Amino acid sequence: MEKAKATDAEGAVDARVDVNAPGDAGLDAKAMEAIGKALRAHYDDLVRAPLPDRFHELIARLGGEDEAAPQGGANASS
Amino acid sequence: MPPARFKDELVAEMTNLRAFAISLSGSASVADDLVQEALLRAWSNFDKFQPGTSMRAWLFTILRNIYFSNCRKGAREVQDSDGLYAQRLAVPGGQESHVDLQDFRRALTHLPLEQREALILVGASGLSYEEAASVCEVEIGTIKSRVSRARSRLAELLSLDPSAGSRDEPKLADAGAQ
Repeated sequence: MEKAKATDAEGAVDARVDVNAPGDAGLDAKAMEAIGKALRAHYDDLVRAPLPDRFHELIARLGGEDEAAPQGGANASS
Repeated sequence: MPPARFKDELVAEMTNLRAFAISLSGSASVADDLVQEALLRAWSNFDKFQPGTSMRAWLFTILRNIYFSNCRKGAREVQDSDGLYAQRLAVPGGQESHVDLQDFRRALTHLPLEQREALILVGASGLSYEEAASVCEVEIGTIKSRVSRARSRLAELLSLDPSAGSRDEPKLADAGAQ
């Protein structure tokens, strides 16, 4: 999965990269802004999505029954 | 037994952890398994968390390690570019951005994994470059470079790239058909 070879050549240019600011990679400000917005919209939408029930149940189990009932779910799973 | 405060911090990061997992894997069901495993692993390794450091970055690191380990074990990286996000919501207040959320998500799945994660970590999840570099176990410069390339590629895929000329047909039409 590592393809870091290519990065050295580009590394020098990157000191000014700010993900929320326009300018790098030859992209114009509008494109940068659009991408930044869409990126945050994508992520925020996911963060706002309700957690599936399984996680509420899991969280309730964590700590609650750890000592009393040795269900071990928290520690046994790899 | 982790202190209550640890649990509170953990729970507070759950939605972010899940958002990262979905962004990384491109699949809500894969993501939920990852989140569950990461949560359990974090719980049983609570003593390895250094108070004062970013719980989010710590959890992301754990989840990412599980994901890559699963990938190495042969579980294919899921790139179900159309069926992934169950709910499609409108881009909140993003009319002026001209990028449809679903188009954006499809484009995101076309990025190499290492670029996608760098972009999500730095551009959306609120991690610093330094934290993102630590999560991905690379140098900060590598993260910056990946973010930069990710954005260029997205601009291309979404036809936002002025240097690509004024092509009317979105590039996704070419790249997206799988």
